[in-house]
Amino acid sequence: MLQLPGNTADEIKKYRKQLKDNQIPDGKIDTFCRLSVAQRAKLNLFGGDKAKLAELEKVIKVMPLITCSNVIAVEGETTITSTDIISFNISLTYDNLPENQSPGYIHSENYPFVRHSNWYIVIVDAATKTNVIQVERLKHT
Amino acid sequence: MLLENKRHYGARLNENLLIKNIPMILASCKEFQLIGAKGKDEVLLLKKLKDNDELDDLLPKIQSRNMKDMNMKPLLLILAHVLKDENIRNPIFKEGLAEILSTGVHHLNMMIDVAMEINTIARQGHSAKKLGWTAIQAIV
Repeated sequence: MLQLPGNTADEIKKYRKQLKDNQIPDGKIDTFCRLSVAQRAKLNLFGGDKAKLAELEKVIKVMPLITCSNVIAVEGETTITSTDIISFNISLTYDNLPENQSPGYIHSENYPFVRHSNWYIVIVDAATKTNVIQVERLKHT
Repeated sequence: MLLENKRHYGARLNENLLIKNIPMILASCKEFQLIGAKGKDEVLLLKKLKDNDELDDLLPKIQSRNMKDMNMKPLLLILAHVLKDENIRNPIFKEGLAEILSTGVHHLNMMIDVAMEINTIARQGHSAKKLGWTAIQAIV
């Protein structure tokens, strides 16, 4: 949450205190960015400072909000057995980005180099969390 | 250099890896250890960085065999940058910090590669050492 302009530790505390009243499920940055403009305005952030709120909305518009979906299946079959070759089909969708655009370079005040973002896909046994099956890095192309 | 760094990471990565251990492992790689203090002024400024209590808490307290002769400058630069210490903006640190920031990402990628190699060796039954999700997550 501190990545967002104007946010301070106190401001974040104030926001988190309002979660229950505004029926916001959690205090994560993703949830905050997915709130509607009207919902965020209702939170009375920055003591009602409109300039700061406008700056915040500008940044939220270009935040990389991601939806991740996956299909795990065996080609041509409906059931999976232990001897099958399993295909993992993982899709990442940038919700804010029109289909004819691709994500640009990352912006960070503390990282003054030109770089594209990367995503890591880690396939892990969810039950034990010890058996890491595969780590893949998705590079921007 | 590449093999030496891989060996270095291979020895230090383990299943108990925490996020706070990463700067220390990163700072002790071969390239970053060559970033030395160039004069008394810089040494004094590095001591100033150490005065930051938050930063001092993250410095290793136990002198192990591995870090007996370690150059502390890269570690101080990384921690000061992460903690946004104001003294890190001094132009004297610009060159060293730029090198760490520009190549640090590649080193972290190398750590992930090494972690996967460790897991592959474990799967083949040649080693008992295995890295779980928490260790990989700490690096990512």
